[in-house]
Amino acid sequence: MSSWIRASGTPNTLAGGQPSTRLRPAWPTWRSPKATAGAAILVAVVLLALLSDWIAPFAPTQMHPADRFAPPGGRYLLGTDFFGRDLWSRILAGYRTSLAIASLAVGFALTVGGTLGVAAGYAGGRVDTLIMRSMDVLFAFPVLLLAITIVVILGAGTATTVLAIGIVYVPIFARIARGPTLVVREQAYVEAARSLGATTAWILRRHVVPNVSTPLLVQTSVNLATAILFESALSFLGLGAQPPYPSLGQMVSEGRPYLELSPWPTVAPGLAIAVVVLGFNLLGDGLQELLDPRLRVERF
Amino acid sequence: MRIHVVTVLLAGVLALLASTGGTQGVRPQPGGVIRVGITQEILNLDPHVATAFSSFQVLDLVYESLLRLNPQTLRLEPNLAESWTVSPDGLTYTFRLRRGATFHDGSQVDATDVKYTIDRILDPATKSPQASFLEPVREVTAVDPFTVRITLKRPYAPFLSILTGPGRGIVPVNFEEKVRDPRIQTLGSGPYRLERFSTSAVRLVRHDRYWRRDGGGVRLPYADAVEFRVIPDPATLRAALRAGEVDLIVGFGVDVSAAQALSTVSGIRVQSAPDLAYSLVGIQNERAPLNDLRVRQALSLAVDRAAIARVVYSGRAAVAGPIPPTLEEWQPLPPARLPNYTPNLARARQLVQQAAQGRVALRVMPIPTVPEALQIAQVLREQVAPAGFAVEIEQVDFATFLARWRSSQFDLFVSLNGGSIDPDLHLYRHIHSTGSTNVFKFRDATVDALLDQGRSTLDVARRVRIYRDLQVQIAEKVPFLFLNYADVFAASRTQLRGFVLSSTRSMAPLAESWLVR
Amino acid sequence: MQRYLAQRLWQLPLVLLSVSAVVFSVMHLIPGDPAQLLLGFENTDPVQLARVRREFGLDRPIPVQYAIWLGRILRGELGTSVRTGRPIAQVIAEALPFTLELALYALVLAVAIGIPLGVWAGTERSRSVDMASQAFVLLGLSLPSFWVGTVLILVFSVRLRWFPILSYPRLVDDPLQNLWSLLLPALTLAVPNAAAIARMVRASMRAVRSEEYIRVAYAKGLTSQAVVRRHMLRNALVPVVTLIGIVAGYLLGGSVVVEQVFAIPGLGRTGLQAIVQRDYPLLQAVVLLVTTLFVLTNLAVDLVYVLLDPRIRYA
Repeated sequence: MSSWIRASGTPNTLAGGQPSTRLRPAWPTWRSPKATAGAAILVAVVLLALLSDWIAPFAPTQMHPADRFAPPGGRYLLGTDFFGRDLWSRILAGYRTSLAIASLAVGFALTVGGTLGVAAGYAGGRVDTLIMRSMDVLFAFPVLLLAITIVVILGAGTATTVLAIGIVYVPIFARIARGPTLVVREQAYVEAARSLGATTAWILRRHVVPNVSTPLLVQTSVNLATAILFESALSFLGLGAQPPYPSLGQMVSEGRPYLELSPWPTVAPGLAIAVVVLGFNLLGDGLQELLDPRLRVERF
Repeated sequence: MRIHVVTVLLAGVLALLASTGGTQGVRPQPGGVIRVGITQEILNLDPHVATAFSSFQVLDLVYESLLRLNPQTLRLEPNLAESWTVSPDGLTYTFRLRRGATFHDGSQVDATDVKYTIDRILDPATKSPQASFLEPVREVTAVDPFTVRITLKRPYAPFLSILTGPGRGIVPVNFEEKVRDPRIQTLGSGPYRLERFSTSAVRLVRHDRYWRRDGGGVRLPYADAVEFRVIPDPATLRAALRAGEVDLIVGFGVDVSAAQALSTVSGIRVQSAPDLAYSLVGIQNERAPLNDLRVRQALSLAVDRAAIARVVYSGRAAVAGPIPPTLEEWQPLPPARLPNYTPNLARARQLVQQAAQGRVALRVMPIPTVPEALQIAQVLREQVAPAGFAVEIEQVDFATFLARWRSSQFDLFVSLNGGSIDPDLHLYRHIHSTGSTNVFKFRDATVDALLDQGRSTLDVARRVRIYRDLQVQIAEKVPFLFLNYADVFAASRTQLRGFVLSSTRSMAPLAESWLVR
Repeated sequence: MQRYLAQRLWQLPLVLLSVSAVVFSVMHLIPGDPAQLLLGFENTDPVQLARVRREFGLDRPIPVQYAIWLGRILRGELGTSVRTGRPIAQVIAEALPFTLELALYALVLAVAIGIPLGVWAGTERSRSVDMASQAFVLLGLSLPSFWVGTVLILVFSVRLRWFPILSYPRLVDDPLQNLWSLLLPALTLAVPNAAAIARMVRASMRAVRSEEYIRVAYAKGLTSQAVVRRHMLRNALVPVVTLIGIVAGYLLGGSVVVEQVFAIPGLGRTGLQAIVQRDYPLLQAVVLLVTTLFVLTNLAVDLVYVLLDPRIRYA
């Protein structure tokens, strides 16, 4: 069965290999320096974000009009912005927002997309066609444009950003989940199991899930990275979380008219984004190397 | 010894002459094209129907009114009317028109044109937004070709001020037959006439028989043409100025930080003038708990207007009340003498405690077309929080803002209101219970009475006293919050000489500007 | 292969049709009266509203409305921009060249940077250099494009003044200045894609390098350079071509942010302004156009890919 269009991905069978039916290895030992580095960064960032209320020296919306555009150092670790708000505190709060939105969005896509993909792969026939053709239509839209359109309909804000990014990512997860499911379904042992009276649920759990979880896991990590970039792009364009609650992309945007007065309000949040995205990318690459180097990962 | 003194004196005098020769000695050069950059598209050039600021910037040069405002002193001066008299009862104005003023088609400007103009504005078929300003007019009579008599229904103090400005520009008789589509074609008496129109670029060329001359008797204007170019993005507009593609930007496009940055660039000159426009926090007076005077007063006491001036305007703004501080002849009261103007968080908290058990939740809507509005909203939110106000910022697009503003569907909003040199024009329509832009639903008998008195009293000294009482009343009753009168900036290339930035942001001074080439 | 080609081409109109259906339905999902949306909020004249309702058949059932709308689009009647009153076709015709040029420029830069970088990384033996290049590549993928663009502006336009700020002459008017002024935005767009290309080239080369026939070539006595040129590159590049195609498609949609940062008057920026100004007819046209271009590009990429390597089967 060929797909109508393929917007962003190479076929999963480049190497033409067979899926494995063995359970993936019990939690991989971190032999990959990449994965270790990535995980370390992420753990640090997540901790910072979760504990931001306690470790931030100031409230993120608190203004100090006398100290506007202060350079890093002294009282303000990374300096202050147009209103005299501490950049470090805002970045911590922004991390929380970005991570929350990214994980909720990817979680949504994983759940909905994964389910749709497995359903399509396992049920086959008309159901498969219907689901995958719908996914293809979604795939036809450039990613950012689709998200923007959804936000336009639903209105800007945190909740709609989660939904927009989530919806855009659903087709990717659907496609990732479908492939291994299809192959598993054709296997002899599945036929055998069914003839012995095994329920669909049991087959799904015992054979399908182990085979889709690895690629889904790697894809999740990669998509978390792009989701953060995505969310920050949306908030940069003014379509994400609304002021005064800090969001990293919006902070970069706010600082732009005043670059000549002080570059820090723009430079610092951008670096903060890069750090956490780097963490996810390292982790995703590391996982891919560890778990299945043959995996083709959808990048966009 | 004496020779030495004389030599020194001579040298000194020569040096003095040489130094002044640098700028004042330069004579205006005729010719050239002055290019003005603006951010808003030009949609309508009918002087009596247009409402957009961009339209008026063009209209300033194409149409003229009976009187004009001196750009520097903001005083009324003769324009198409050479002189005028007012009857003692204030109901009859007689204007002597200047001879020698012509429209762009060569015909003389005379009294019949003035009558036609005012009749056109008042005609319901024209649907002119200027009609409400001229509502007190009972009748216009052309006594002789160069004398016009206007009688009013009642004494109306701001009448002469209304006769300035392009919205009341004089058009020729049978304007609508001579000009098929007044939105995109013009026929005025101003220094420039329309040559080419598009919504993103307008070209005006010199009116060769323009009546005004400079001090040396040279006929104005100097430049051959003025072009308006629309560049919607302010940063791009400023880049065009630096690149030499535009000669002048006024107001929108040059805010405080941009002005600061541009003032260090060689080849660019930055001017500033105190603005008549003011930033405000609009309040819906009929919504609970804002309908409680104590809550409104608490809001006024919790806001630190000076801090807003420091943060949002980098200090280039004045804290003031209902009367613009630059209009000294109206003796605007300093903030210290206005009730509820000096920040007092303790008192604010007390009032909120009494009126609303210590907590008031409000939503504020900043106007999206003015970047400072969102910044003010953010500062405001922080300032009033300790007093018990929980303010949520709601950003909407302009169409929604406009709709909600018109129908008073808001708790609070932050915006910029245009100002005027006459206190009545500045205040009446916003604050009087019958005011056309009183979206605040404010009603107070004392304030209404003072506004009516101020409008109908012709004696200046008495008017000053009335408006002084009114300022106190307004600050006491808080229909909405007056915040700051910021400076307005203009950036121009040094090749452009003779342009004076006025608090009204008028483009009219371009008639006396020239390009050094 | 013939069959595959035919299949894809035959399916194309169906894809475009469904895309247009989605774009059309957006107008009806947005809260508010569609007639008002089409006319713009400032115009509340009931006569005009009625006219719009008639012209677009807004009181007819939805499928009929869709047919009417589609008919107009296919005839080239894209409508009028609510904000400026200018014909939408004209607005788009002015904006499209910038977006296309930017995408092409960025593609060229991404390939020109990515492939050599990937080849170099793929042939380097030293472990530390390899790790450094990997880190570099990952960094390129992690930096947000709007940030990269802003920093480039700060350093090269504001501080060093090498590049003009925010003025873009058209290619036909002043080609040299046009290419110079678009260099920074094209570079910004190119960075993550160059990184992706470099990474894939490196992986491909590493995979190929360990293959038998390469070792045979070395055994035969070919120099390193000759080996690279003759064998490794050609085989390593096959999957890369697809990636390039993907990149091309992505560039079209991803240019919104870069156009905004650099204030380039392209389609992305036009679309964004249409959203802000609630100019829905313009927004519809832009989304439809960009998506159509995207679909066509992807189709072309798929076809090229199949031509290059007919061994590939599709699941």
